[in-house]
Amino acid sequence: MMARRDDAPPDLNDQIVALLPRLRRFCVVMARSRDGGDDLCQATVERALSRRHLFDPGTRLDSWMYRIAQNLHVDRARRVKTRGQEIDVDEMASVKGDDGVRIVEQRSALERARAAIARLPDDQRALMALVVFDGKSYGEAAGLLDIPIGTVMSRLARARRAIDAYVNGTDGNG
Amino acid sequence: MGDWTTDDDRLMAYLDGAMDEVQMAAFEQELETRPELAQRAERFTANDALLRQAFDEPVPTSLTASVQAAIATASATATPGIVASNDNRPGWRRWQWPALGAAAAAAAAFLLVVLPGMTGNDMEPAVVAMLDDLPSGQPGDLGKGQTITPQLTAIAADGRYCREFVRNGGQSAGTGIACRDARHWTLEAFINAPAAQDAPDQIRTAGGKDSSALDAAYTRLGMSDPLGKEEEDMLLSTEWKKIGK
Repeated sequence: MMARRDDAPPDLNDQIVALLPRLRRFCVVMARSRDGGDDLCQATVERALSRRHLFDPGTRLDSWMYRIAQNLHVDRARRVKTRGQEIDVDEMASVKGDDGVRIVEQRSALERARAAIARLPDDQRALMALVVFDGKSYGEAAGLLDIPIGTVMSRLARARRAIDAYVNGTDGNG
Repeated sequence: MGDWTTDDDRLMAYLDGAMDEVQMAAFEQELETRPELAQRAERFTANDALLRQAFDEPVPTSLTASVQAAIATASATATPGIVASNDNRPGWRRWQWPALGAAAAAAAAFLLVVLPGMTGNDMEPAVVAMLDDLPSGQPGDLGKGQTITPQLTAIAADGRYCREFVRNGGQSAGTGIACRDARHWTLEAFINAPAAQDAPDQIRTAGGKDSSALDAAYTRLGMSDPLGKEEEDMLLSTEWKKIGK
């Protein structure tokens, strides 16, 4: 029988590195820009490392870190507001202001998709990130965001209608 | 079909793989008879695929490198109570860089000054008044072209309220942290960054190194996360009475 190191816990640092692509995607979606997402991702890792003693190895690392990222994102948005500064929420898609419709047709499909996500409210963006991009179940997403499953589904429906309207120019229903 | 009573609910469950085989077969049968719903399902499926593609990007090497550096630093300083001598800053402090950068950009040379325990009496009354009264982000005029702008409010481990601030203009420009007990503000740390021509021969250090002085103060003070606007407004309006729990 091969010697196995069952007694050694899987290295948290390795797990964090392995999680990085998904964590970064979550952060980019939440921050609505690549640079902002990278910053948020880095801050999330740093906070996770400084609080690693609080992580319960019996639970999911990704959920724990998404929650940290989400909280940091909320804190940060609040601080930006407090400071009276404004971040360029549409930087990722280079859409300035709310009048996206007029320039929609000039964009490539992927840019338009990114813009569609960037225009969603925070709570809907978080669910798109968790369920559609990351493949989390409704139950996991509901637990992570502390909302009922019914709310998860209705928010996803609203988000998808808005995305459909933006990407395809529909009213989201037809 | 489960608890899903609306088209939207069923469509979401269908798209997100929440249906079992029986439910899925029933829904697909329903789509046969409802072309509008079927078109919507088709569009939403295509939209999802497009979105996944749009956010399918490799991690930038710079981010991978900085994350690995953070991991290395954390592993090297895992012992509680040991303050790293490098810039292993608490994560949320990253968001303060723009503010520090503004002060740093105004100065070609840094004079690093850390002043633990300088008493409140040594702080200028005008500065004390600004720290007492201004919400974070709002600059206050100190005269002679100088301003002070509180950046955030947090709570130290000893229960005092603390504020990080940026001071612009003149010899006293820089960024610092002051904490308030029942009566006085005490300057806990300050990075002085006067205008270049004023200090041409000072030892120059990298900005990132300088900022670690503030981080050391944050660590020493055991600072909480920044308070939200509502809490801060409450403190300003109640002259820094303790927030009741």
